[in-house]
Amino acid sequence: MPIMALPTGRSLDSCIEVIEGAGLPSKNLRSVGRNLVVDEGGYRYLLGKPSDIPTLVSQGLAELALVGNDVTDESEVELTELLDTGRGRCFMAIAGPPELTLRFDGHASSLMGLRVASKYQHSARRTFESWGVQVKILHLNGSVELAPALGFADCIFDIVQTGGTLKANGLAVIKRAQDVSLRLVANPGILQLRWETLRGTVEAMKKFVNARQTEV
Amino acid sequence: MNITPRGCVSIGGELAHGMEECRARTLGLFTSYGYNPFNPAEFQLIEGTMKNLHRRRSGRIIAVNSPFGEPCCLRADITLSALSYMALHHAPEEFPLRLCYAERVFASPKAPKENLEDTQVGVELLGWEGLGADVEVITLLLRALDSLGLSGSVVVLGDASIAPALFSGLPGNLADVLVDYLQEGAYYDFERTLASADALSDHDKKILSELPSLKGTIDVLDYAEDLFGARRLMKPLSEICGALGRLGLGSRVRIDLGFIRDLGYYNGPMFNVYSSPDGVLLGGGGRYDGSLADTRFYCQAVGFGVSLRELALARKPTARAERLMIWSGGAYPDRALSYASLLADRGVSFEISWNPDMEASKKFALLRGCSWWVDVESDVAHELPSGRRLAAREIRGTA
Repeated sequence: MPIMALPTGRSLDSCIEVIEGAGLPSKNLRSVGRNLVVDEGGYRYLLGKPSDIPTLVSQGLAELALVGNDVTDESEVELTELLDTGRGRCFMAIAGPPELTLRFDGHASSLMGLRVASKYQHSARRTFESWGVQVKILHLNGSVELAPALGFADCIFDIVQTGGTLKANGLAVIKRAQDVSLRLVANPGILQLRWETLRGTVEAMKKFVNARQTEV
Repeated sequence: MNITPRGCVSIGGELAHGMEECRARTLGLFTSYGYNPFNPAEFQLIEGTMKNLHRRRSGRIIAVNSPFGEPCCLRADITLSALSYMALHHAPEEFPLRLCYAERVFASPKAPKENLEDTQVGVELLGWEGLGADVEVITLLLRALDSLGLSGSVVVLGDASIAPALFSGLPGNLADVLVDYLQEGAYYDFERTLASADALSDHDKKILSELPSLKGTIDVLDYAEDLFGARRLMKPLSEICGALGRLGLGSRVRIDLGFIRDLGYYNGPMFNVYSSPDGVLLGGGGRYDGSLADTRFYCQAVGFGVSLRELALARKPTARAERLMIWSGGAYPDRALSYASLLADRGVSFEISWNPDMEASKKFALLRGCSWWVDVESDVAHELPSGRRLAAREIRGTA
């Protein structure tokens, strides 16, 4: 029985769309209620908090998962990325007061010691390190847009969809980092051992996603 | 008092017993195949270690300064120590050199793990050209796992030379980019990059994009030979699989042609080993001719290392030898110790209780899991917890 981990919350609808489009059983997922384990048509779906999905896969509790690459990057867990579903497209970005753009347009040295508030502390650190810049990361679990307004951070590193929340808090995208979307991932070891049982599922999802991309 | 830092653990109890049993059995088997025990230094010079490890691993070494001011790291790789030892202590006419070890290695952990250290048991077969060395090492690995009751363990074989050879004609750094994606498990990026490579025909894009999905039983090799028209490239894996098949081990071998690890360190057939078809990763190994060339010997080397802790957790537990509790009672210590020597000479497992309180001593014996408690003074054995009594010589097996 293939076991797939899915994130609860707003990504779940996109996951169901891909699962349904690939012809996998999905009826019970539509009315999942408070269930966290859904057995349907030879599949088991495990529903978890998005940040817990990489752990479920790396521990071998789920063979496959649909999850945003913002979450997998932040977890730093070694996973194999099989497919970009194209759903939930957004991006990671440094955002701050518009006047901060000047510092980012200058030499990297002008960014040294910048105070960056983020829910994604590991991704933020890696991003700045890849530019050769040392910054002070302030880890917050939510409402990071508050940090620059209250003066305890110079900018934020966060996921941006429409930019509406940034605008409402007087912030703007200063520099764009990596693209984010819903990805199909797997445990590398399980792929080596059980590829034959998972291949059909992976190919079906790939076919659906590619067909939709061609239509677009 | 806690003196164990985060990422380190002191292991005792059943797990320590299990690890010791795994260590003794596997090293016993390796030495019977002519592998000589090897005890590498705990520190390695940082320069040589960094130069010879893949960047994914060299970035994880734990650097220290020796009291002599030499920049070092805690032993990051046992193979490098083995190669260095061979180059400095053995002449080419003494090759091949067979070494085995059970030693700790140290590295910064990768999520989700947190351990800074792991004890590995493994072998190195250094300085022999040919198929025999690869097959010997993989067979030895599977035999070692069999001896621990892991007869369902599985070896997944890949070959670090296949992907670079298939991509060798690609322009610019495209080949390096594609190999990096495979190593990182970024299969989607691999396919996307291939699809947008103008230098490739649609036919070539299509067949190369299949590489990550060439996983499964050894039949995958036949398919790959036809797909790529590259029989020569698949030959090392085909020959290894053929030999393992004739040894009756074919069902325990799987192929993964998209599997590349630490390219530049490994550069030929390589493998991961799992405790069962649904099991955990125990370790891995492979061919590393390039590292050997750095020691000025241009020949083949192959080896493996598996985690002793994972082995102990995965093995089928065997019944431990029954243990006696010897009670010294009011006797002088020499009386109990003479008795202990007698038991040790006969291979009987025991522990001495110095507690003068007989009942407390019996309770302690039960706590220890002892099924017999022996009063040295009266030479009477008491079965626990029934209380049945026997002359102790019946337990010792001799008068």
